[in-house]
Amino acid sequence: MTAVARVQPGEHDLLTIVRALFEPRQHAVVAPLVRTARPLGNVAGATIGRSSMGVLKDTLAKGLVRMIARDVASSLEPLPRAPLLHLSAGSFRFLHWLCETPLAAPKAPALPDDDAPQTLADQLLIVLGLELARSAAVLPTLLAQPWVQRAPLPWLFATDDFAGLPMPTLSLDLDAVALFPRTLSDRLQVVEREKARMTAPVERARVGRAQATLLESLVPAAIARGRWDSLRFLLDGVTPLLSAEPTVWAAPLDPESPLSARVEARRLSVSPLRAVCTIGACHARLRLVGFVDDEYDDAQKALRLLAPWQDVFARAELAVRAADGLEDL
Amino acid sequence: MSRAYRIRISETLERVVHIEDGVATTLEILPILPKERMQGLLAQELAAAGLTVEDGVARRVTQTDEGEVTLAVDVATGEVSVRVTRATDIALKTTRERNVAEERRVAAAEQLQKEARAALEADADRAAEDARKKATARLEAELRDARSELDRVVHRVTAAALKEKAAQLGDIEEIAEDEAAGVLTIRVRV
Repeated sequence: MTAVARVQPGEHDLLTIVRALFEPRQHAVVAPLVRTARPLGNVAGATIGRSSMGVLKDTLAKGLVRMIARDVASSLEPLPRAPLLHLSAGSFRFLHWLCETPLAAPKAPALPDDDAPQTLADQLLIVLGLELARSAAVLPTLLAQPWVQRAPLPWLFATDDFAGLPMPTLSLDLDAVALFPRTLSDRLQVVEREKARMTAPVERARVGRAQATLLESLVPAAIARGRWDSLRFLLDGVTPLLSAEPTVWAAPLDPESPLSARVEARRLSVSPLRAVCTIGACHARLRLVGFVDDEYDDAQKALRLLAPWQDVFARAELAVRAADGLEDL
Repeated sequence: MSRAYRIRISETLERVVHIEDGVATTLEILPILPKERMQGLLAQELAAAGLTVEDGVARRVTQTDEGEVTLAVDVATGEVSVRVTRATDIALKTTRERNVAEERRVAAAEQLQKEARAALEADADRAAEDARKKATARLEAELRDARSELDRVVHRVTAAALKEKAAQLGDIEEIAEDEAAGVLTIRVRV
């Protein structure tokens, strides 16, 4: 018979919230816990009971590995290297704060941030925390925390949530981005559809601007290093939309708003397609690399990898030209 | 017992509101001839369309009820901007009355003045927004006209450039042109 670990009531709340981070269906159940303050007794980073710590570590380890495995399973490419999953002290502070702070309060206590570097696992925990906070309607409180704002990967996962916040200098880890082709492509589609529903030019422009800033740093870096795997989410994300829902990039805006604002919103909303055009321009250059050139083998390898999307480049360019050419205003 | 006072406050607001809205895009001109020659042809066709070319910019300014509409084309870059600007005077007046007890006379007068000013500010903002909406509607109409006009200019520039190019290639034997259909056929003996 398996021994059941006994934990304190406060520790139980902490473990319930942590488990719910990995189980979106549990979000509604733990939302009241997240929104309100609870005395957690002895639950503080250093004093958590041994049993609770064991369960916490087990939940985090299995949850994070499962999160990555889900995406990796959908990828045909082998992992470039096994990701190292290490949670820093900041993550435990984050979990403790998530559990103990009344996040729905008008002035919730700030999450301490020691400016220490964030690991991949730290950033994934923030991504999960943002999803939970969205379900619990406490997203602004989480987004206001410097620990959350300075994590690059969450900006890519939840660009629409971060839009409008001052973007710090973010350096996206290409290895980390390459781990989530499916989730990031799904998220991109959600954001594009959300953006199309925004009729106020200022709102749509805000999301488009955040996307533009992120992709203008990610795409050239990935191209320069030949990391096509870290761009797959973008190509996979726009492909079905370009085929079946191209109007998401030409959705009507408030007809009474200034034309200049509508034009800006329309041009910024095609930011993901501009990034696809950048890849397309590189694809066109690679096709010109001759058999006698030194880069021929690398170019052929890249062309093979990009082959599934070669029709997408032309369609993306047409959509961008329509936006720049002031069509569908 | 305190006496009742009727307070009447008149407030006026005069404001000059500057309204501006505009868009910019780029003409797509095929590089059939050297850049300088293409620019020359573009300037020529824009002048023929009634724009004034000065310092490399072709411009046309139209006065409308909703504001001054400027269409400008940078001949070198092909950048087109259509802009509407208007400075409108807003003059508003309002009056407020209230019955108050003698001891509240001063405070009530201040309060009434504050309310009147706030109401005027709101009315002025509404008037400015209405003027902006009208200017935007005018801009949209002008943009539609400008787009079809500039499309015709680009077609004429392309046709002129093709004819020149054909003449460079050999002797032109025949030119058949259907501007409405956008078809140009040039027979050249080389």
